[in-house]
Amino acid sequence: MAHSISDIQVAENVSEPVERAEIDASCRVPVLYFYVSALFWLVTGTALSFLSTLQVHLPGFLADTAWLSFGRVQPAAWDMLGYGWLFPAGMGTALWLLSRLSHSKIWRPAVLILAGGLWNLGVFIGTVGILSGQGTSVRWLEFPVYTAPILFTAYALIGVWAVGMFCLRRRGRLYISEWYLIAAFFWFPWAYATSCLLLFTAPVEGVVQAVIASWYGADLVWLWWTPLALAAAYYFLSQVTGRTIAGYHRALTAFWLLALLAGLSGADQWIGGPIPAWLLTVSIIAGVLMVIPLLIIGENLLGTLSLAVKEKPDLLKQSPTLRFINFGSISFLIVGFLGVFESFRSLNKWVHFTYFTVGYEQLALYGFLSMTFFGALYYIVPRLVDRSWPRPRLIGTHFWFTAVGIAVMVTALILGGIIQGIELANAAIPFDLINGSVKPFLIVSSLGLLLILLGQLVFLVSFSGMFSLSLRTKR
Amino acid sequence: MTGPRSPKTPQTGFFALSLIILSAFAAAWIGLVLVPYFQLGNLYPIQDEITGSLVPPSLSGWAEEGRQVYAANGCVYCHSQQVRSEAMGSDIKRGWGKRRTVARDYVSEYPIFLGNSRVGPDLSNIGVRKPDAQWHHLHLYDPAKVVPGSPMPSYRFLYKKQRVTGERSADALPLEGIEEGYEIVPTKAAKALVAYLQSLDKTYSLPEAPSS
Repeated sequence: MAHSISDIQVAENVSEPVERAEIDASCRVPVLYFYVSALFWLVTGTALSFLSTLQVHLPGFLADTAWLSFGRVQPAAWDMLGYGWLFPAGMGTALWLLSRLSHSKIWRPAVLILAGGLWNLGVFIGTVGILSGQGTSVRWLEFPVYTAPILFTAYALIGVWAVGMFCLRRRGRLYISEWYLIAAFFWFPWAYATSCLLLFTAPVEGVVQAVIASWYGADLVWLWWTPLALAAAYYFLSQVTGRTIAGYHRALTAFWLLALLAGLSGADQWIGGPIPAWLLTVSIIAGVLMVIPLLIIGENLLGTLSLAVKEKPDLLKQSPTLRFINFGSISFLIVGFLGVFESFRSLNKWVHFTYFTVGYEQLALYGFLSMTFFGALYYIVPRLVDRSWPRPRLIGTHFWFTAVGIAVMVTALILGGIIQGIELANAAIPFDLINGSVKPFLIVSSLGLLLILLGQLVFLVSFSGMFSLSLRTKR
Repeated sequence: MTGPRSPKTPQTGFFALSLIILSAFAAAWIGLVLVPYFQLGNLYPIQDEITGSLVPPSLSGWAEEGRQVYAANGCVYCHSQQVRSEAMGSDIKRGWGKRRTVARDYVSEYPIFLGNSRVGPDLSNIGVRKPDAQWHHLHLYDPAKVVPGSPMPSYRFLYKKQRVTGERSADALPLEGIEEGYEIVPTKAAKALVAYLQSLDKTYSLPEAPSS
């Protein structure tokens, strides 16, 4: 039946296995390089993040070492995760997806390796900059200003390569993943350049800085990492299950709504603050309207999965890719709805300035984005090294450690945040007592983070196992 | 049966496609970057009716240097600098300010530290609540000693231990349990940071936000 075949399958069917092997061969070195460096930053970033949560419980811990003081470690850890892990993991996946979807080999992969190296250099200098006391304290732009040209040049090379590959594609219908990928590669440089120029090169006055910083934060999460992750989710769901995406004809509507609303919703983190009221209202409306693209994307991803699982009940056990992407998609929906929740003035009042926001962010970074990229890695890496994952049991261990860790950490932060918010709103409760009531939740959330870290180490073991196996047999 | 309806992808050229994609993004760029830039870009300090001085006042060089120390050490990740109106929270009841803060309060602040987290109290008016430099030094050196149960990390690295030569330095911290013949003194960074904290004062009145 014609209608059970998605565009993506058609695309895959016309490409010969030989062609696919050639495409994979051209991706091998750059994409693997992106992944290996990403994993390094993931593990070191999470370890540093864990260290910073310990410092909340033990305020005197490492207090004599400026480099490892809480106020520097925490932003450094976030940026290592964001720029060190999510960027290369997402861009590596994007390059592979684009080459598959446009049936083209990567032209001069060496340039990408160079660009990737430059990117890592930028992240390294930026991290050292924050730890040595040159951080800017602008959320998501903490790296000292002089890293911006390095990161931008590296990004530009990668972006040109990605978009170039797309330009060379054969004519035909665009799959939804291509929409997201191409758009993201345009949106990020615009957001990054605008923010760096108006915050550092020719700084704007007063609260405009805060508005622009929040716009950049929203763009980074919702119009850069999210499109990269959604592109992977749409592709692999259809590819692995062999089904059409449920409600596919609505997918593009969600794309346009996300493009329009996500950036605008950024400023709603300043509700109640010294920002003009009209601006907050616009942001709040955009934030609430985000519910529409969320529902559509939820139907697309989870609808497809549930239909596929109904047909093959042990599908999630058999395919690590689907298992991780399933977790990522559910997290995506929860994050989205928490965001909508936070957009309402009346509800925001109870969670503003609390650990609720931290829980929300952690769920986005670890639960949605990281898990989706892990799903992609589980599919792509074996095809690049020509080996299958060495010990399937390690995949399950990785999944459960990470999944339980995320659930524990995020639940603790959100509940703790709500209690913190209720107590903050009540002036009769002395401020100094609030931290006491939040403390148990913070301890639980640190344990959750520790589980996540252990899960990542397990993944590292199985990744390097496969890698060395492939190197040994090639020689 | 009809076949699957896919997103209509026009066989439009690549440039048309990128133009459309960029225009969707432009809406937010105009809304959150361009318009605020022009609307708020021309706010300026005004003359206080009673004192005749400009408000918000500009900071001393020391305090401006302290702002950089504040940024470098991530204070903003736990402390906000914004007072919300009574309807939006307990800020005023908690004594963090007498009036809500407005855009004009921040015209000369670079970088701005509105903040998103209140693990610690709001600092918009900390210079008024805690005017004493020594309080700040003792607090930064060992927060829990000054505020029992405080989860704030210690900023001991902003202080140095030195041998007492002759008389004790005037700015040595009055601490017990320091090795005989030694004293703890603030570094330049600590002094700048404290000068900055002491300068935080938004109690003046503005036409759009009178401090009643």
